[in-house]
Amino acid sequence: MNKRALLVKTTIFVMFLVVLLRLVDLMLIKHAKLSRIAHIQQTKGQEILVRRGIIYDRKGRELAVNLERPSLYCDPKEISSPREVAYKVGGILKINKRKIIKALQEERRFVWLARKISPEAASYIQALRIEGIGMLPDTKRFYPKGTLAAHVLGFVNIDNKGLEGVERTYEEYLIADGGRVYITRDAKGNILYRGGDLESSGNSIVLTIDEGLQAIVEEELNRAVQKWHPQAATVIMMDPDSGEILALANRPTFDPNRPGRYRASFRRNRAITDLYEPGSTFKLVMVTAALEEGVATLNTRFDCSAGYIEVGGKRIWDSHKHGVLTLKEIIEKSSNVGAVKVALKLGPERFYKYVKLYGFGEKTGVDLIGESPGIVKSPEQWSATTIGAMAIGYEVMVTPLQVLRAYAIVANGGYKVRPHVVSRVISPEGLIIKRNRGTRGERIISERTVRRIKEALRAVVSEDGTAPKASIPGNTVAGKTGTTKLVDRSTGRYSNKDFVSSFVGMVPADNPLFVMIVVIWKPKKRFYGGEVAAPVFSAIAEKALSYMFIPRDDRLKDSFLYVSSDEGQKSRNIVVKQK
Amino acid sequence: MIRKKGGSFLLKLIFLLLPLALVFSIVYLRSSITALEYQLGQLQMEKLSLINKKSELIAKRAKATSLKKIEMVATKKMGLTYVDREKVFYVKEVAPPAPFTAGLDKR
Repeated sequence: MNKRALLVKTTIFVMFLVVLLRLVDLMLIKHAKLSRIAHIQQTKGQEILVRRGIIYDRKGRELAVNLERPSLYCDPKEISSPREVAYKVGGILKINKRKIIKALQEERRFVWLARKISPEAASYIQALRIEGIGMLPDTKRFYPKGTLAAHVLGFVNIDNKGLEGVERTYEEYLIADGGRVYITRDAKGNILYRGGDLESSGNSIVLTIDEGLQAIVEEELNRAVQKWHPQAATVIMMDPDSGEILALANRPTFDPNRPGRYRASFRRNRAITDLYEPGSTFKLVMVTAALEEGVATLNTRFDCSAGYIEVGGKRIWDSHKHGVLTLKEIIEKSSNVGAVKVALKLGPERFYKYVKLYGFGEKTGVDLIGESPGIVKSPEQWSATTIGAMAIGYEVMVTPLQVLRAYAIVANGGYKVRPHVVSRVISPEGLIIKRNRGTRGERIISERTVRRIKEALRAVVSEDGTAPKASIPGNTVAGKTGTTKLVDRSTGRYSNKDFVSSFVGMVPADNPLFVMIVVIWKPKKRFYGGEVAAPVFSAIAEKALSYMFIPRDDRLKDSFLYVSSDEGQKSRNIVVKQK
Repeated sequence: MIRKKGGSFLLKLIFLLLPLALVFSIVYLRSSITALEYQLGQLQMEKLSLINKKSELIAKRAKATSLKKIEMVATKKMGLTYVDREKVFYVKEVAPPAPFTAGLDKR
């Protein structure tokens, strides 16, 4: 081997040795330190995008969804020129520049500049590449139907935490676990997948509310508000068998997309929070007690010819003299004198038993926040006038939902029922993790009594009753009107100009598909339940029956086309037979 | 023991190439894994952006198909009215007729 070749070989060997030593240095000796530095440079913590579950109506139509709206933050220590940044960012977001300057001059290292900004604004700001300004993924709750079912849905705060309605009651189901995920990036910012999800979703909720029925209810309620200019109004529609609330609306209302723009009184769910004296709708308790206890039958006569009755030194009047009335006529004509006479015959203990049996003075257990139990005094607390007052729906405070539930018990044949607004909770994978079954409770009224009560309530809607305006062409309606004087706070006495008008009823009367209550607080011009609330009931019920494909009772025989299908053949042969 | 010269050369070659092949295959596997990680990372970002788009579209669809809105358009713009319930026929499906049998049993 010549000298030159040896030199070349030695040089190559030495160079390889140097490289090898360097590799040993980097890969073995300094490995821990260098890999730590690389890890810091390559990995970046990112907030997991958390989405609340979607809220659907009973037919799967979306009522509450999420939109990706990033939030803008800054690190004031890294901002060199707050004025310049405020000018640029403020111009895009259309926010007061002074506010931004103030935020940019704070002493903290993390300050929100704007929450849930539009994707367009976010991309403009990102393109500016301003040092010290960053964006975090965020979602915004969006209610695509606006004010529809606002009091059932509720709303969330800026941090997507449920504050009212189903959003609050089912918060634990709707939210998902958030936190941070650490992602590995290269020098160009490309992501290397090392496991972990960048987003997570909460469970979805299916309501018992039907968007179609809700829209009908809200439209007719708006019409009633325009006509009567009341202080407030409420309508609840419920399936009497399962307790599923099909529609619930209050006026005034609010837009859950912008709850902060409305007063607290607009956001209150009056259907379950507001108490009122139910008036004649409470006569249901009296008639049930009388029939169940055998104190009277529907044909038992009571002399109401005086037009008034004295109880505990106070006179209770009828709107006009009725003469001698049967128990059925007492309900049909809503005679106060008759109702008091029956209640006196029953006595406090027996009357109170049925007040409690219908669940007055207790929460209904509806899955919404803020329900009031109402106020019912026990017989020991009663004054001499109480039995007379309670017989006609005074000296007792109830919510519209409690009254509706009482009538639902009659409608379903005498069984206890629990109203609810959520049908099921579904996981992101599509599994049902909670189901609110509309199971019938124990029987509390006999079938015989229920039949008789329905007969009396049907008479209310007849031409001779107090609510012919609640009738629906072609279908039978059973129900009861209520007209109550409100207490004038300045005098502490019952007012002669402020009333609560209500109507609660069931359709079709024989086999009710729904029960509904209409309560109108302080209507102007007119005040009788039969004049103010009953027409609203009728208008909603007629449209609802049409929407639910319920035929008219009087055309049951000739409104069906019966088709038979031959399953044996590939193509279905449909033979139309008209019965 | 006598070894042939050719066999010894082959062994040397194998001993030289085997570690090299091992090193290269490890490098190849590592780079393939990294390439896959890149691909998965990209797909994850794509999935995220598609989920966002889907949310936006769901919201748009829900807003556009609001029954309140549909009713308003139907009644005010198109002049449609609610049906007269007296003129509605409801179609009900009934079981097909049983096949004809020649026996004495009742059909």
